Amino acid sequence: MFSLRILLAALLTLGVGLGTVPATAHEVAKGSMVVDHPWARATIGTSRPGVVYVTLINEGKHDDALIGAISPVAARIHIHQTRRENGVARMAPVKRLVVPAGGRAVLKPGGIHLMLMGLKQSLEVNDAFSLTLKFEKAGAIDLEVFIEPVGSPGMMKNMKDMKHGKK
Amino acid sequence: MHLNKPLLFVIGAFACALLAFALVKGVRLMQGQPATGQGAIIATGGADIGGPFSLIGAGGKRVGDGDFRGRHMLIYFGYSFCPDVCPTELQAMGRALDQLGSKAGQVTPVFISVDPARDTPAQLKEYVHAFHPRMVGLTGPKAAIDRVVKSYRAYYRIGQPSKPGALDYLVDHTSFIYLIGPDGKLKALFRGGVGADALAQGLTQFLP
Repeated sequence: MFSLRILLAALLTLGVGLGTVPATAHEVAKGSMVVDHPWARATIGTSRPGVVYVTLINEGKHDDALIGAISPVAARIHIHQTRRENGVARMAPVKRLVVPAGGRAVLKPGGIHLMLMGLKQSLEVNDAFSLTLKFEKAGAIDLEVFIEPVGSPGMMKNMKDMKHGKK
Repeated sequence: MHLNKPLLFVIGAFACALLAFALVKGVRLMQGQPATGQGAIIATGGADIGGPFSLIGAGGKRVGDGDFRGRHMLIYFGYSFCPDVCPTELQAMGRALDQLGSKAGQVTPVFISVDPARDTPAQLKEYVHAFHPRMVGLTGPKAAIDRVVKSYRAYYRIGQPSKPGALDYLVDHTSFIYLIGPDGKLKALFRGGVGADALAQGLTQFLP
């Protein structure tokens, strides 16, 4: 049994290298667009903007692009990119975020993110809210976004916790 | 042989996560990004960075640099309406301190707002506590903030709101993490985006 587990783990690990990722509870797919692990930072009240991070994977043969997002919890949502130049962090709007054919666009802390302006409710830890991403080709994709603590580093932390869990 | 499906799934997910983590680390190394504390530290060449300040802390209490003598300060300038980069840096500071163990007590993390129009002392207190229980949030009159920004060679620029008078403007700002020694002088300057692990390694070099 033990050796079988190792064998299966090895096979699954190999599977990642070949581009087959097992579906997770956080993953939504439509056509050739896969939306993985959408998460938001909790907010304190509604006056400050919210933020959503997510990985967009294009398994198709044609480029696609994220062109917008809407959610019942926010008046408007902008795609933003944090740029660091000479130590200064600036947020620049992104009108069209290309997700290349066979590639991905990763929205992550300190980089590209969705900024939720005009929050209609506080984003509370362990809660979730619905979000619709609009793509040029894949169209609208509805998601549930999970809310992590404001100080969450996001996915990297989860991975490292898993790594530590091995010891 | 009995196949336990949930168990297999867990093992598979675990293996995938490990490999993905190794790949990310590997790519970072190949791109020459700092994987240790060394590359995360900016040489300041003895530049005169830092100095006295008098700002407003929790409960409207006046807080000055002198209140931190004998302790280290780990300072970040930003604004609490900042959705992305400030939480990213502040969580790195909080997690780095968590990694320092017994040395962490020597360091007080400090967040100085460059947006006093929106960041009241009460709002800041709640905000900074989300990142570390001992983090101090400081704000104050614009003139006092401009003085500390200047002495720390920092920079900020308030952006345009969506309509006149609206409070939805963004703020460009320098994203550095300053380690100030018990004597009030700069000990180290860390790049924004350094991450908790490299920051913790860097801090270890400078703490007795």
